[in-house]
Amino acid sequence: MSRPVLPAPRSDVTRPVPRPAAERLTEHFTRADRTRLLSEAARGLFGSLHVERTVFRLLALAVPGLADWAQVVVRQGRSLECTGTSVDGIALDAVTRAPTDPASGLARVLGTGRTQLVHVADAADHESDATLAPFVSDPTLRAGVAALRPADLLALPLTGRSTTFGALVLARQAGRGFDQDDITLCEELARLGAGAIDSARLYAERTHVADVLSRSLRPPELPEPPRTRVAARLRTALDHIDVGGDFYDVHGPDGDWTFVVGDVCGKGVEAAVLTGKARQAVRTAALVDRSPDRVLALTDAALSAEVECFDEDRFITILVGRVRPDGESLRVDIATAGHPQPYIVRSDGGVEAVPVEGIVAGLGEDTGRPTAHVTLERLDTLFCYTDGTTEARGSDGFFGVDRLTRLLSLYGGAPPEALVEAVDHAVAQHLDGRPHDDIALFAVHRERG
Amino acid sequence: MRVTSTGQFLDALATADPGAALAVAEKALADAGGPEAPDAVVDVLVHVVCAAQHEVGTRWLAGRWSVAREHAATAVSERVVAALGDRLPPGHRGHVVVACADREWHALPARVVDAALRAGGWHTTYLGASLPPVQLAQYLHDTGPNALALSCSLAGSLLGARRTIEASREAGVPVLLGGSALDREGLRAARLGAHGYAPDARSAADVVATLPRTASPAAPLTHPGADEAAEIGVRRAILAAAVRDRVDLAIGPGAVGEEWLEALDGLVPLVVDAVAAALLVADPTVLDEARDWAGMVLLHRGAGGEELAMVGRSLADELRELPEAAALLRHHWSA
Repeated sequence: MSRPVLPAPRSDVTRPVPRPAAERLTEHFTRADRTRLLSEAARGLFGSLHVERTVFRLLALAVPGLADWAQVVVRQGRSLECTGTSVDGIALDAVTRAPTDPASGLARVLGTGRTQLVHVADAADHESDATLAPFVSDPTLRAGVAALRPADLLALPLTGRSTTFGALVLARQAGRGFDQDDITLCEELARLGAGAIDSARLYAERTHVADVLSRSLRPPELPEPPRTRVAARLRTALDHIDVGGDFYDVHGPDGDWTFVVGDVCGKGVEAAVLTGKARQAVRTAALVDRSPDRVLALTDAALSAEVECFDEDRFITILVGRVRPDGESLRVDIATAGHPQPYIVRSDGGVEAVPVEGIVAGLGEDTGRPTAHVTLERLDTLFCYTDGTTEARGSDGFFGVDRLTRLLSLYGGAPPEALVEAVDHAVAQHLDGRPHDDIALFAVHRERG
Repeated sequence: MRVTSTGQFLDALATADPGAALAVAEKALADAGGPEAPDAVVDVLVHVVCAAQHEVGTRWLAGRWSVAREHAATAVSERVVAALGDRLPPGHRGHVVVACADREWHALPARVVDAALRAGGWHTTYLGASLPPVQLAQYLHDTGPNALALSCSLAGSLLGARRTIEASREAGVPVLLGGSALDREGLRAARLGAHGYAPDARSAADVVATLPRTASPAAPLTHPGADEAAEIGVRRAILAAAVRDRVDLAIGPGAVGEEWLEALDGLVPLVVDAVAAALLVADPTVLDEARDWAGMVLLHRGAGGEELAMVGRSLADELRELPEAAALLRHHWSA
């Protein structure tokens, strides 16, 4: 196989000169060494799905094992993202413009997808720099190679999805040049690195899309209305941090705000999409009329229009609360669509269920949902939850309402964060690592003062 | 001045009054150099909030405060830490993810470290208490931070910490460990495969700077105790229940107060965890610490050394098939 080597307009750019065996690094690479090195590389490179992390990993595998200096270049539009090793082993990052001359240096590697080997002479002069610059465009990184002169530079293509998207550039101090076996070994490493980096690039693109799409599904920042403290927690069943079928939301002005706790029956991304629709429907409905029963009626109508989404197996439970100051107290109006009844934890530890019921949303069977009016005095807390909490299954059955209310009774007067945390903790202990549904907890507390 | 602030802060915690607690912290911060001085923020967090919080722990241990009261106080402290931490300017030295290991519910130390790292110029993301390794790994893959700072307060969190370290290193992210479940020399942290250990919040920012830029997958743990630790880890709940049954049987009904039976419920799983953790990091002093602590808890709830020994004997009986664990309990619990 012919290997494109830079044309040699000057005497300092040559094919590697065979050196006495004693000087050659290859002497130290037995067949077992190569196998070990490549299996270590494969093991080390496949784990990460993040581009920068994978690039660092590749650099750490190349230096000092295979070379004295290394640079990974990844094309990003019109620029090149260069990451290289420096004398003290710390990776340096730089972004430079993509080379313009397609026939030389990195541009040639990127264009042809083939390996290039050049020799950099032992002189800090213009000619030596002219050899280096097309391969190492960043001056700081270039200083790292220049320090090694005379050196051999091996530029290997990083190819994935039939595109050469970057290069791995290795340098060895002269006397440790690259022979054919070394080049083959380095090409193997570059192939492994390219596979890993390209997967990470693909993953990053997909993650970005998913991230943008899921932004509206994330829990909102909690409001801080006067004399009111809100605490919430969401534990999703999905193997991800913040999208799922349970949700909570808050909106409206401080003096008259609305909170929503909901549970889309079902799991995974499909449930998360419905969650987003439900949250949006509630927000829109609340703009029309803030009374919880009206919000639910409008939400129900909007969601029922999504005929293909809802049936007996796929519905949604929603609790809507409207919070307004009422003298020294907080007045909360609550209506629910099939959601578990919330509790009021009085400052003395008394626990009262809020008697409020209504049919689930999404079925278009709105028969009117009564509104409960409750008053939170100083240090009282209203606690709402989704059924993933009480239906968390442990070694002795469901977590259950009894355990929940007993726990709540210990937290009379406590900050709502403590209450939410205690329930979260107790449910996790009950589960003891077993799988669970989404769990959403939401508490509104009338602070002292 | 600090002592006064700590006392006042403790008073605010005793009444679970966030407004009062924040006012004390603000005053202490103004005295220490103002909110513009990152060092002053860390000073107040360490010398006022953490110092008071230490006393809260002591009061719970002594049976003077209920768990709920301790939780309420801790929630107030956490709010103060978050409020003070939010004053710090965004960092630019690199991104550090701060989290608690799986089964680690003590979020306050992690929050303090988070603030201390920000004060040290790092950009941080705080992920909260008891994070399952799979969710943490996902986050690391998505964001590719410079480092993960993992907080371990209880010995039981070391097993989860090991899984998280494996996941983090797999993702190429170096790990810094800290917390009271580790020894001051950092030997346990090193055995777990962490790249760095910070003995306190203040030093965390500097230790992060010494971490390598990349991490390679962790070498598997092959010492004799490693397999047994995993075995105990999966049988944790069953073992705890069995030990409870044995202790109940031994003491007979009505012989002891409700208070220490409740304490026992909470304590036995932690002892099981401590045996697993001691085996995992090949450090029997983990169990010594757990024994001393369990002794204090029981002592303050009307039980004595005999009951403590009973817990150890019962667990040793349950673990007789596991030679390392049995030997560990024989040598480090009977005393």
